[in-house]
Amino acid sequence: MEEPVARPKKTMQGTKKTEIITELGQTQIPEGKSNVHVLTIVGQVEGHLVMPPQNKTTKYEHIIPQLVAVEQNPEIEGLLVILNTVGGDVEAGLAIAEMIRTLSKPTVSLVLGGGHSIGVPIGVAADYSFIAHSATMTIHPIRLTGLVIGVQQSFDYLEKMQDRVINFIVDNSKIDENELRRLMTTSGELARDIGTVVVGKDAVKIGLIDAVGGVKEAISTLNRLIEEKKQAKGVH
Amino acid sequence: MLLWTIMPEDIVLEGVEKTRTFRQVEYQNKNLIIEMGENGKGKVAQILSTDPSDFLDPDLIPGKEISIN
Repeated sequence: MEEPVARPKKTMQGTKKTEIITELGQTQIPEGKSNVHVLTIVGQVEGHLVMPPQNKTTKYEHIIPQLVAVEQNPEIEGLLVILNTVGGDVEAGLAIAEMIRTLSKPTVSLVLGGGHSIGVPIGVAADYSFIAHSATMTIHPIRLTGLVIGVQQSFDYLEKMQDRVINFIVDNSKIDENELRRLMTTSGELARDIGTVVVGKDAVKIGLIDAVGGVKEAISTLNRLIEEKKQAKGVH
Repeated sequence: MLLWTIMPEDIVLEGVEKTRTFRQVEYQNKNLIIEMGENGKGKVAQILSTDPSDFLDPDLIPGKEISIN
């Protein structure tokens, strides 16, 4: 067992903020206690394989217990999920999406930049979802990596996995299943793949996302949902 | 493994065969798995804990660089 190097506390405090920005590209959580927890889903959603270091990843082994903490911590009243992801592992993505969906506290998601592939079920899992004007979501078929035996069984397996995500998206948004399948298999929209890119208000039009908005709308909706929940409980 | 991403597979999995060394250490009384870097520094890879609140600690988020000797 190794001991951490004891660093003087003063320097730790002094450099902490800039250190986090330079090392991780993340900013420190504001000092004032917030009743909302922000969960960022960025880069690749990492699955059962550790991604090579050039990928920015969202790790499910960290996110899942974090969501347990959000559910259990009495100081946290709501969850804001911010997505800017290129997709990733289907199982890990669905696990995160199921955790968000089954949270008892109000949840709001905001798609910024991109919420592609497995980002779609995570985006729709929240109670209310927003997409920025310029944000995009790519809907395309699942790919299987590694050894693929080209037989009927491997096709059936892939189709089953595809149905899992389609069912999740249809159950948690207003999109029609046939419409989603059509968008998924459209050709001519993507250069190297089949599928469709939906931008901002188009995602709302097809019923995938609830509304177009930004951080202002997301926070005010979350506050409204928290307030409604309190009133339903009889707490004023 | 099932990947559903817009990133091309060859870019995502480039360098996946490279060996990376991970070590279990105790840091701030918590057990962590860290990925070893250079000069006695490592990056948090995973928190080994059953306490959910440890996962809300900003000092222990994956990717955070810590010094060990």
